[in-house]
Amino acid sequence: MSRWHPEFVASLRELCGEGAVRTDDASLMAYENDGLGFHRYRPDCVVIPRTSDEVKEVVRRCFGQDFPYTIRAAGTSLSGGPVAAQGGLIVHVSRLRSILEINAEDMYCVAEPGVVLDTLNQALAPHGLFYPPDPSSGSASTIGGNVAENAGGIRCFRYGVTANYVLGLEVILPSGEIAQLGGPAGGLGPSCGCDWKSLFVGSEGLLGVITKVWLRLKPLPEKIWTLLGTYAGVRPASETIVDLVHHPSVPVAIELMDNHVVRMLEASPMACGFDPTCWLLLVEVDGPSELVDRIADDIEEVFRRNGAITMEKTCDSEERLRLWRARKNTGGLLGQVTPDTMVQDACIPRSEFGDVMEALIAEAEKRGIMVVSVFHAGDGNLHPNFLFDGSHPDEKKKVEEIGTFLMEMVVERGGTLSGEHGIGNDKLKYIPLVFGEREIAFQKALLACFNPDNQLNPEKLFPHRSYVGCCAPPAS
Amino acid sequence: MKILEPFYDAKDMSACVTADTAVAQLNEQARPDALIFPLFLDSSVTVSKLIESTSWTPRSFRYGPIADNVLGLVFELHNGKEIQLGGRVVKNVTGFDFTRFLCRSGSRFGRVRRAVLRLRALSEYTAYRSIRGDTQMLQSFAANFMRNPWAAVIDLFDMTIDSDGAAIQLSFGCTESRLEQYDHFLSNAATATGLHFSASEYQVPPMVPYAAAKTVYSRCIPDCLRLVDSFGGRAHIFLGNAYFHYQPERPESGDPALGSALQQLHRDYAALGGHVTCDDLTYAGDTPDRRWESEFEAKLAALP
Repeated sequence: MSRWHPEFVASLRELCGEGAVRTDDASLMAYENDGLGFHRYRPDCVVIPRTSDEVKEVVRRCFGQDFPYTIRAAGTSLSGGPVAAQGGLIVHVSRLRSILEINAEDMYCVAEPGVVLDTLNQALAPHGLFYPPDPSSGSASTIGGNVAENAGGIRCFRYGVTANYVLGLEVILPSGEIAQLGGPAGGLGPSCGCDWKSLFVGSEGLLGVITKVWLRLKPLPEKIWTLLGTYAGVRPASETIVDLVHHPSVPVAIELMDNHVVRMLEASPMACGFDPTCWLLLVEVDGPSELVDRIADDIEEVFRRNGAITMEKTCDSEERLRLWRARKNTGGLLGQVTPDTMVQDACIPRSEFGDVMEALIAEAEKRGIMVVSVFHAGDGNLHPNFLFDGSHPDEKKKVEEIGTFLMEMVVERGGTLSGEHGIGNDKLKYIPLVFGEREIAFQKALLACFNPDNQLNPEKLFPHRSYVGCCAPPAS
Repeated sequence: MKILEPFYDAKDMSACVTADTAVAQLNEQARPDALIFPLFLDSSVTVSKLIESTSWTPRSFRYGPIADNVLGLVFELHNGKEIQLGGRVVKNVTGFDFTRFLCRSGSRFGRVRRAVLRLRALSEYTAYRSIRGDTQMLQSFAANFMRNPWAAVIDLFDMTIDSDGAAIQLSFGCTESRLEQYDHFLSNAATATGLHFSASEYQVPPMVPYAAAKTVYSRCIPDCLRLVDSFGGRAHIFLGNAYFHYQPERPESGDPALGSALQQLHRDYAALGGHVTCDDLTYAGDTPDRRWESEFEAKLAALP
């Protein structure tokens, strides 16, 4: 018998089955953190429903209870979003993994929130279609999580983010009400109602529970070229990026790896044979065969004009994977060379790119913390990784100080706190850098309509969002 | 908080403009830097009018709805207070996505004071082409082309239907040296299906039509054909966005049969998450979104 709300746990077991409700320490430990891993919070109970009807009933039963609950899918997010910051229940929706419809004629599909991104694209490929947003966690992350975080990825520069593809949502509100927002036709416009689904996308699980998603699809490109250039420093690389961003052909991806990452990579068993002192720029272009061959030549000329030391390009799928290997291996490599890693996410105007990178590297060096960057340069979306040893309290503190330095600099230069990872509970303290009191009050007015006592996913997105009990006034 | 003041940043491809700036004014400034804000129906219209009155424009085929191209807003609420949402970067998940929501809410919650717009690279050459022929063939061509890799490099892909028949209108930007490649593909694709391909002028649809509708691709052409067949006039379909404008022969006549046809289409499209917008239609029903709208408005009114 669970010590935490035994009657509620029993009712969940009756609803979802004995094995679908976990209260033992070993199971709960797996839900303590998301991909960020920087902060840990143990839930009191986890329920893993099998169907959307079960999810609906779980949410309905949570309404009016005196504990908070949080929705979680794969848990690959990187901002401390789907964690039980105040304990309580986690509703894990990964078993809702059916692709309900693929409509090739109208170029959309309908998926449950637990469908894994790569699985969806495998199912779409025979129809000559694909779903473009591609966070690097695509082999594990789910559609529901992607929608909740408005996920981006490598292909964003050309294809955009999750919000550009969500046509409709079925959601369960904390009150238990079920609503369909939009649908295959994509929702309302300014002349006829409001586009509420646009607020649910990227709402980090604060407004309701997503149980069904309509997604717009694109035709698969006919041919893809990957180009790789090496550079002596950040300045020529950033000049190349500005030129690429202005190129009318619009590359699919513009990714940059700094010289520290390349050096670490080349010193590892994953070495790819690059000059270990170089910065590395990866660009991808796609399109109709007849056209994209010449676009690839144009991009090569941009590399050359901006001082690339070496250049490679290929349209062979095996060779393309080889060029991407350096980029894709980085995550695993960082995990091997350092006890702890903390990845940050911020977005800056692309014209500020060189200055921000140099200032960040200097600040990290001053504090004796190594910072390495692999990121979506075309979007100005920085992802510095801080390498440290969390068993030394001083190092963790230094990482937080550098994070603060970065966020203050980013906002001062016209950027924002997150380009794709979200705020979660990791960046709450920086919110006042971006929003004034009036802007925060305005956004909390929305929460007051949908999630008035913060029972759903408290302590996320905005500071002072504690759950204080369903019948009590909110803390803030 | 960094206040969004008007700026023009050619290097970063963005500009913050006041609400009364005409799109043409901005594009005049951007042209020397080979940049453009490509989304407009009538370039003399101000940015605030554009944002408030429509979601889709011809070049939304490539660049998406207007809301996807507005990076930030300074917005005046009905109580006179100004708030700032979004920012000036192209990816932004800080806070709720109110920029997109407010852009797609007309003037329900207030009005745009300043907007940060995403600029795009201006091609060396812009070509306009048309494809004409049998309506059924055009319908089939359009459906196939939408799923063709060439669709990714076309800026505009519309169809017009009137009493003279139907035509596909398209536009693309390229260098003069690549023009031949585009024309070669399009001409071959058209003639292979018995259609006629030619250079043409583009006839911009009206900014505010009698009726506008958002639906799914497969409904657009058949429904527009039926409307033109039954009530005359002209339909202009933004094929890639499954959105169309319909202008009847005599809108002032208040034909009850037309009203009834549009009302039925609205019911059909609403079930798909779409709509028909027309001043002569009535929108009834206690839908959840209408209730939320009232609740949210009440909360906003109570803000200090």
